[in-house]
Amino acid sequence: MTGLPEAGLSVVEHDTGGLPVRLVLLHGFGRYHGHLLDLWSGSDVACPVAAVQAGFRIGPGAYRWFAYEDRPDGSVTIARDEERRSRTALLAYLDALRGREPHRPLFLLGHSQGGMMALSVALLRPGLLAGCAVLNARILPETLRLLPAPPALGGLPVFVGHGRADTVVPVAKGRSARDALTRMGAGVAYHEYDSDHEVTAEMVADVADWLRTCKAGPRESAVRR
Amino acid sequence: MTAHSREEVRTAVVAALLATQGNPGDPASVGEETAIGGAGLGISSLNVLQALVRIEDALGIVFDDRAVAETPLSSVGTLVNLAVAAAAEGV
Repeated sequence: MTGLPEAGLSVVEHDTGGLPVRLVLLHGFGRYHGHLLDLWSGSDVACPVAAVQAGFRIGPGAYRWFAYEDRPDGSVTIARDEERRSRTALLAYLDALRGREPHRPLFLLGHSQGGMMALSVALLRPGLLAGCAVLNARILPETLRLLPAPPALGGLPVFVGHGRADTVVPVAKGRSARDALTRMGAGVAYHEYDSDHEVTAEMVADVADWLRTCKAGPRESAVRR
Repeated sequence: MTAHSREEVRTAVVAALLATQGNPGDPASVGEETAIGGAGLGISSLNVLQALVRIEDALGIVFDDRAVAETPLSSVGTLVNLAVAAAAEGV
């Protein structure tokens, strides 16, 4: 595992061949880099991957991108400084990755908090990505407040998957993300599942199909700034 | 060769698990076969995570992320094994 001390993140990169893209995996709260890496290894799509581990350690095998607190009124408050540091670090890593692999389309796959980080990247720096897949995630209002105006996503492929019985991030948040991303011009593929907050094999298979489709689509060589 | 005997590790593990319950309980009643969750100690996965941190602090060890993620922590003994392995790694 490569440590990025200036960023607080750790990264494992696997160059397996297969689809000529780079898929960056962003785990959820209380997980570690190996969670999505292991799940993705069960998919039928081989491609170079990078599994990023958040910098804030909760305990063994458990990291977070930022602390959060559920409020009695149903709202969620987040530790903004932690979110900012994680987002800055993640963007620095993605910029470095883009510098090393300028012609390789870059995709993100994030679960829960990792999905929120992925959506923040998509909204703040859409030109960095060829596509973005999120599972059981939501758009952070804090990210929207950083934007002077809603971004024009120009058909950026975004996969949004959500469990109907998600008890951590309610499915309504996934539907809101779908609607907001569509209004911003993303090419949204939306899926709901009979599941709670976990990542299921069905979700992974759908993301794999989506990634294959994106690779074959017109944005295949998209590398924008 | 570890810096801690298995008995020392077991004592630290049991103390950490019981501490998460807010009730010291009787360490002598907890064996390695005792289940961590459910009808055993009834400790939730979130509290197990807190116990892991306490064990790290108590023994001066660092658990391996993958080992923790991949090991079903079903009984006190499985956690003791994990801690013994972590202690051996740190020597």
